[in-house]
Amino acid sequence: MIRFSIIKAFFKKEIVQTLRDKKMFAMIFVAPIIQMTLFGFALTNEVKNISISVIYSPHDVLARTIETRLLESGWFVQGKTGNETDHSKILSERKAEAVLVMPSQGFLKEIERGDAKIQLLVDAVNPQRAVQVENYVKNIIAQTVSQEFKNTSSGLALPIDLNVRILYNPSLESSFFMIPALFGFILCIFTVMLTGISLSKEKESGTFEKLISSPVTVWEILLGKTLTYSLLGFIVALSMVAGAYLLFGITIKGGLLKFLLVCSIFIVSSCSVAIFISTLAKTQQQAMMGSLLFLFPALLLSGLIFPVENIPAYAQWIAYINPLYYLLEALRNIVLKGGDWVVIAQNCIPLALIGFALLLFGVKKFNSKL
Amino acid sequence: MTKILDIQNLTVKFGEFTAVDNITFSVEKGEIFGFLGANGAGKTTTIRALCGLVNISSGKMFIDGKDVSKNTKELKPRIGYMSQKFTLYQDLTIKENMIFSGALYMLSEKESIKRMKEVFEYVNFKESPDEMVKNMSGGSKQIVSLAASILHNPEIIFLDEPTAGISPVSRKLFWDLISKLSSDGKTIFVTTHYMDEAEYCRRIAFMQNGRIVALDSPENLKAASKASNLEEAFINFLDKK
Amino acid sequence: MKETLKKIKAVALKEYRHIMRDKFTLAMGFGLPLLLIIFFGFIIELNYNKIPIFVKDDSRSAQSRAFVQKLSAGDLFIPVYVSGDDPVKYFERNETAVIINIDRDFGKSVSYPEYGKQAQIQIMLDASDPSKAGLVLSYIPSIISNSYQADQKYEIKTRYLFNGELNSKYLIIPGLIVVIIGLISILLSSLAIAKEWEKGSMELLLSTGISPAEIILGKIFPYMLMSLIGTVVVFAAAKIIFAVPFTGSFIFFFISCCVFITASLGLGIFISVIAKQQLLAMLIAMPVGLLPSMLLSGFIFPIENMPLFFRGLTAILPQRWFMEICRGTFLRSAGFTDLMIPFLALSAFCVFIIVIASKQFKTDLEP
Repeated sequence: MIRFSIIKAFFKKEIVQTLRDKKMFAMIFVAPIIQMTLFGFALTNEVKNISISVIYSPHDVLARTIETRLLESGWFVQGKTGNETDHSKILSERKAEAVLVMPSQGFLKEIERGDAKIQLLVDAVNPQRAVQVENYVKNIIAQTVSQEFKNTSSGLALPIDLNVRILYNPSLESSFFMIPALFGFILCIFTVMLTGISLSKEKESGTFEKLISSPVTVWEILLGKTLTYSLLGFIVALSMVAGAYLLFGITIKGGLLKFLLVCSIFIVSSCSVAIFISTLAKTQQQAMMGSLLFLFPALLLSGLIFPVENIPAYAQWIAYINPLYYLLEALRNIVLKGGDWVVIAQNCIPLALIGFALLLFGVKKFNSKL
Repeated sequence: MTKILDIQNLTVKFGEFTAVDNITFSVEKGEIFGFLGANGAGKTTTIRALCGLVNISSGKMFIDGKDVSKNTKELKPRIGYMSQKFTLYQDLTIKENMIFSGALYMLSEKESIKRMKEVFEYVNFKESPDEMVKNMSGGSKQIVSLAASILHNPEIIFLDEPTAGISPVSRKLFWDLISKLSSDGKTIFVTTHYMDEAEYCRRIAFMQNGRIVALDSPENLKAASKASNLEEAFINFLDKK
Repeated sequence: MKETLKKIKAVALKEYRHIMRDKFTLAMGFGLPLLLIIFFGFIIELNYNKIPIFVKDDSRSAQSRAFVQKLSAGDLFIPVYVSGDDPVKYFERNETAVIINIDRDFGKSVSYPEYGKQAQIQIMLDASDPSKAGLVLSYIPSIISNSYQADQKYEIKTRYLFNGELNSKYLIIPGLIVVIIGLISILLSSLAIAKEWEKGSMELLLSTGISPAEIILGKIFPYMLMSLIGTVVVFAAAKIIFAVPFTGSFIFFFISCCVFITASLGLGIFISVIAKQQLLAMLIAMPVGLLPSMLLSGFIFPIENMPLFFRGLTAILPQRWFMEICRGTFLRSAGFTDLMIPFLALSAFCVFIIVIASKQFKTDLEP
């Protein structure tokens, strides 16, 4: 039995308590803004801003063209050079991330002679980046050479013309990828952390005794609590949708309705997580620790920081029990691509299952006795 | 007189520890019934068992003839419970706390506020209802806490050490309120370790290690142990055991 | 001076006993670092592999099949032939991020380049994940130029420095060391002073005439010892489990470790001086300790990609500088001369935070 008036009373009480606490207020409304600017503007792991130093003899026109093309490509920035003969020193002193050493006799001349040798040194501390740097350099050299030898039978002209069409995010802005995920992350923090802490706060102080001595049911207590924080989460998520539009020009392609549908299913799951945590925690501190123990891996294995598909196969199951993973998949699809129903279903069904399982377990364990 | 509370062979165990050990007693309608004993004697556990807050190991408890274990839901609105722990929200005002407490018993906001005013008038309580609970004195906190427990007009009121740590003046005020409630026909079940307070009770039970070692009116207890006051009587009874 | 040392020693000894008796702290100091480095060391993987590529081959020629064959060389792409008129559907359903359309005349054009008609290939790219899109954009043209340009006429020899095997664990593990040590030190110490306030024992300590700086230093030493042991555990795990080479100056690494730990402990103590409650201290320590060390230290997101403002912001983070030192000494054979700037920045932060913490502490005491 769930009585609406009791849920309403809980809701009023929680809202007053939350908004009266200045620290809490700040955490709720300032933290998301900081996170959004951080994730939107600062955090990209695309390969760009590669500092490169090109070394060539002063009269080598073709090498100069290559250098210009590199710098114009948008991926590279000019690195520093030294006057060392050992070019690897440029890398170890971190003056550049890559050094391209062109043939000393002039590139064109050596190609025509048929034995041009170019050396590329790359800082491979980040291997993925290093290989991508190598690819970019090679592509630009190949295209420059191809153009130089256009309409010749030298075999240097490329026989294939690539026509690239980029969809959904033509300017390759990583904020487009990050922000939808961030909606999910904030929603997750809200529901898990705030619900968990507020439940254990009642337990730690005596107020819980008062609740269970009165004729309210476990479901009423849990619903009263979770509804409030879910709603706060919704409000913040919606204000972030507005912020994402104003700051980054991101709109929800699939419409607000699909967005809210997925969010509400997720909220049920993450509230179940919170209830589950608070059945185990006796104090606020333990609840806090518990939520962190959930949030840290959930964040890391959600696809927010690196793609889940890269996780070694034996560990991928961890991502597949992570509610945040499904939420991010669905939200990114809805925000960027319009939200295909197949994708929504694929993600919402596991999400609902996880939520349902945890909820049953949590409510069963959430004792109405001391 | 009708028996409103009837406890038969109640035992509560927490693991290996027996908190309440096979106690039997009854409380009559409208009386002030006192539970006396040291910390850990089993007073709080008995109250919690009666309110349906802990699982009992064996025995039976009846409130107004109804088995507590089977009719918890039905009985809860008929009892008021004031815990030993402070159960109001410190970060809410008096009024907000009252409205919330009332709502738990399905009272509307209006009803709660009306009841709050009644109770406060009753004891001549002067704090503004918009005062934050955390800013109040210990005595006021206990008054408000009691008020919150009786908003829904319960028949039986359980008070677990309601006057611990408050000033003598506040204690006097508090007991005035309890006496008034009793004269209105409410049954009061109270635990304390202040012997002078026990004098207000119609009957008291001495508890030790989960058992009731004596149960009678204060006068009879004093007479039976040939003591001039309750404190002496209490010590005499404990010595006997 | 002798007096001061004696007082610091007394506080340190007291704290040491607290730590040894508190199982939670002990577990956090030794067990957690090991657990974290193993778990995240195995799981964090920034390298993409087996990216599915949908190929719509209208040419159906030997040449087009040869081209697709070349895409699948290596483990990076898995080409899948599809037919169908609505390729965008595949994107909408998250089935692939790359669709390649091969033109009908592909075979002819590739075989007879002298006709001057280039073969047409269209790549459709779902760029919602820009870094994956960037990867595809860099690889496919290079596969083409490797395969179809007469490369014997010029040759590009690439040397991968500092990580010749291109092992991504070499990138992750030293970074994780920074994150883990930073996190543990900040958490441990942020609770240390808050606990004294909460339990009221701070007043007792202060009534003995001990100065804030003495309390802070006395508190730092035992935790420093603990964090150092944690560091050794993590370091050993990096060497033994993940076989990450260590090429730089060990002494320099060790000294930097000490400075970094002191800086992190100092930061934690500063937090707990402000918070005075354990719960609040933890609430502050999390965003201050965890988020920046994960996100702004260059661990996963390169600092050079950030806008100027955020790049400037990272300069005040000890984690950022220690990240440089850690990766430098592990992989780039770096020593003091190469890493002077990060080292000095780290030391400056260390001194700064302890002074600030002591000052804040002092102002708290004055009514």
